[in-house]
Amino acid sequence: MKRNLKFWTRYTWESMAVDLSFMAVLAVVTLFSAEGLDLGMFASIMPYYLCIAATFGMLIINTGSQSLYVPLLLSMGETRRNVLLGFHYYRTLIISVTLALCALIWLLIPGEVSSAGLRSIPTILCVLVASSSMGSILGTLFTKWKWLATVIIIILCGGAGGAVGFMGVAASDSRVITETLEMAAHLEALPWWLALTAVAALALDVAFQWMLLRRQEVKL
Amino acid sequence: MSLHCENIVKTYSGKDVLDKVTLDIQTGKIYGLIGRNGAGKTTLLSILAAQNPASSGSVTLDGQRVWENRKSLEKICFSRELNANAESGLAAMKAKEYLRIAATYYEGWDKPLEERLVKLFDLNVKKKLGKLSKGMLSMVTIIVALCSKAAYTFLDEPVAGLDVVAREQFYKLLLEEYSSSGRTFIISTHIIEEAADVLEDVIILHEGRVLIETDTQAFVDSAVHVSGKAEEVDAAVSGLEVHHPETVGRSKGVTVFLKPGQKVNESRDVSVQPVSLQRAFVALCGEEEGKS
Repeated sequence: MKRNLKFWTRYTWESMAVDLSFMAVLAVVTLFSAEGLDLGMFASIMPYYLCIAATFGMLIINTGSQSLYVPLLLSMGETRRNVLLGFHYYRTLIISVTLALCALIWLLIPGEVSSAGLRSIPTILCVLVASSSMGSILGTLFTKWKWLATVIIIILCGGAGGAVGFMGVAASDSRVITETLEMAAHLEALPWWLALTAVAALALDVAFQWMLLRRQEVKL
Repeated sequence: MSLHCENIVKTYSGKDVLDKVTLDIQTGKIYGLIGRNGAGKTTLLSILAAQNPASSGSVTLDGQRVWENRKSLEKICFSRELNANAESGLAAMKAKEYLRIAATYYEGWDKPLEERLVKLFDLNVKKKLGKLSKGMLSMVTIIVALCSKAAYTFLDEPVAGLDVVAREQFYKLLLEEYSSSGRTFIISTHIIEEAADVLEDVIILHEGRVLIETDTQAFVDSAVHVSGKAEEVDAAVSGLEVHHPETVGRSKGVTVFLKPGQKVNESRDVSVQPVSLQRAFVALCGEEEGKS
């Protein structure tokens, strides 16, 4: 188990680096598009960018984890139970680190945006859990029914492309910060359906993953 | 210490790929697992290493079940043939990353040996697996197998794509590792002739069943090629296990597998020659209809 944890811990930091890079891209777009930028405000919205990066990052990375790393680790003699536990350890760690970084930034920069951000943490947690589970389910689907996962990935990529396009339009209007804050305001209250979705996605993911993992055949 | 599998059955789409395979793999031997394409070699190795579940049957190591047993799995390494094509996620992984993951998971990983082999094979570990040639991918699997130091190590077509020099290097390294560690190796290969000298025991798998599991030399010694005029050959091998008859005009050649105490009737005008492992394998698995 020790070696399994070592692998997944390293994998977490590598994934975190991808998320932070994506966040940096969003930050640069904001820096170059916003007029009369308030640095305090800019820093306060960074955690939202990190969450966006983590959401898309987990969708994509978890798909890869399931379709590549799970069979790879099985081929290295790891048990299916440990692979499942290791993956959920990684998922917990990456969500915890993302939320901890967000909370830290908001605590260090007091203000209205930061207070709203801190109040949004339960909602963000649910979004991250749901997207992480979705990515994982997609990866599991990918190993078994490639065509179905491909269709879903195309739909999701279309959605993600739309979101990026929307942000681009907002950025070109020099209203990126205002737009971000408007979106963030909706996160303060945790809708019951989101909490339910997150719990259901997680339960479905674990059950589905274990069901397929038990019968999974290693193909590299 | 022994690895034992009992009545392994593996079914795909209603077809038995492995049919009640029972084997006892002893420690400190080099086994050759040979069989035609689709005989079930890779499936068998995958099941022995708990990488694939069996439809029924069990695999045990020292009496302990191997499936989902980390302690048993630590003693087994099945270094699979890598298929790093464009569709595979492995294609984007660098060789050094693959080796790093292997080093993390195999408790006894021999880092100095890894460095030595990378240098010996002149392997560019900074390259992505998808950019490596088939021979270089084989080198990666050989490095994992040898450096894992697992008591039971399985290699699936380890010399596929290797040039003759690299193949010689591999067999030399294998014998070096075997004599210094006493590990058990199971090598699945199609290049039988080259491997014959290093294989102590041979397991012949045919259509999902174990046909032969015996000492390689004893198996080769039990087979002879008998040739001559057709009627003389038929008379000389009458009552014996005859395989792979070949007829050219009035001449005939057959491969005969002799049981202890059996002999070819040499009073007939026939030529009796020893056969190689490859020849014996072809005679056994090449043409079922030739058996009489």
